[in-house]
Amino acid sequence: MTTDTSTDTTVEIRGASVEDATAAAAKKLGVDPSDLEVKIVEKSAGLFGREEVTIAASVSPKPKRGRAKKEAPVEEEPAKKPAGRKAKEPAKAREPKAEPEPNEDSDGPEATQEIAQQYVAELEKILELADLDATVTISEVHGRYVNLDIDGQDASYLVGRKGEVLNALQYLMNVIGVHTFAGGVRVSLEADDYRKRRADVLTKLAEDIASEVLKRGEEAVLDALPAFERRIVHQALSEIEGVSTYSEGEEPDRRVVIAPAQ
Amino acid sequence: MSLKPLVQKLVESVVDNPKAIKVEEEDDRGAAVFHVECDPDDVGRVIGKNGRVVNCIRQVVSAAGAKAKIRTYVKIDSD
Repeated sequence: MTTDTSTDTTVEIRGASVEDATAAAAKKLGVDPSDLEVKIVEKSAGLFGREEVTIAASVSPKPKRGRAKKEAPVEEEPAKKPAGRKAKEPAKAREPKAEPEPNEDSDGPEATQEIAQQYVAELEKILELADLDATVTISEVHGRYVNLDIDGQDASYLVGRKGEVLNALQYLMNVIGVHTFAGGVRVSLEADDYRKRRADVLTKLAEDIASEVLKRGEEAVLDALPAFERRIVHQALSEIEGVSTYSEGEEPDRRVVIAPAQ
Repeated sequence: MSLKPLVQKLVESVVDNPKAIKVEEEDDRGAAVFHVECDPDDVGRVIGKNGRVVNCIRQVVSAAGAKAKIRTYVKIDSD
């Protein structure tokens, strides 16, 4: 596709794949692709395989002329690596709870059937008022989590584009629960197997990008994801040798970075 | 079927003073516009940090609207 920032020796190119972008960069700089030093500035992949990467390519051995020109200021955030963040083994000797992404995890509340039932009742009321035909069942009660399944002919309305309705509803249910009956017990919603499918997609994506990172020795930044989806990426790669992951940025723009392990 | 009770229920569920909630529905060329009034002390709860709560309410209401084939708007009246 197209270029934006460029100087004599460095170009930033967006393309459908690293290979494409590298080829385009080589052409633009008039050199062989193998003479290029390529840095992945951004990599994004949509749900449907539309993938785009931005690379910064520079001629590696010798700048062509007048190196008075300073290295193009490629917008590459300094790779700050919060060290402890991606510990493979959450070595916290707390109670065996579902480990949430780093956030407050007091030794507090325990999910019970009663609380689960209240969440179900609340959600059913909302679905009824929304005139959406779906049933709610409790799929799991453990630690401080209640997992609910929403199924039925209108469940797809509750997923929405990229799960945003489901995420919104889940957030609201948590606000309501915390506010009224649930103490600190959190609810997590699944509809139409969306989360499961999404987890598969994310895991696959993470593995693909990790192998690219391994190959190139450069970091890759994923699209912004909600906390529980970032966790899926971290977990998917925790077992893979040679790459490490961490998150950067602020919600709701927090992104996972996949980096070569040091 | 009106989605007004849904809006009412969602807003009531997140505030401290549900009795103060009033929802008015207005038809704007086929779209449903919901004006929400609440206790001034609850405005923050209804809107949420960075508008997160009200945006989630909008998402859910508009999902219901998608089935009913109407566009929906949720507005928080503050004054």
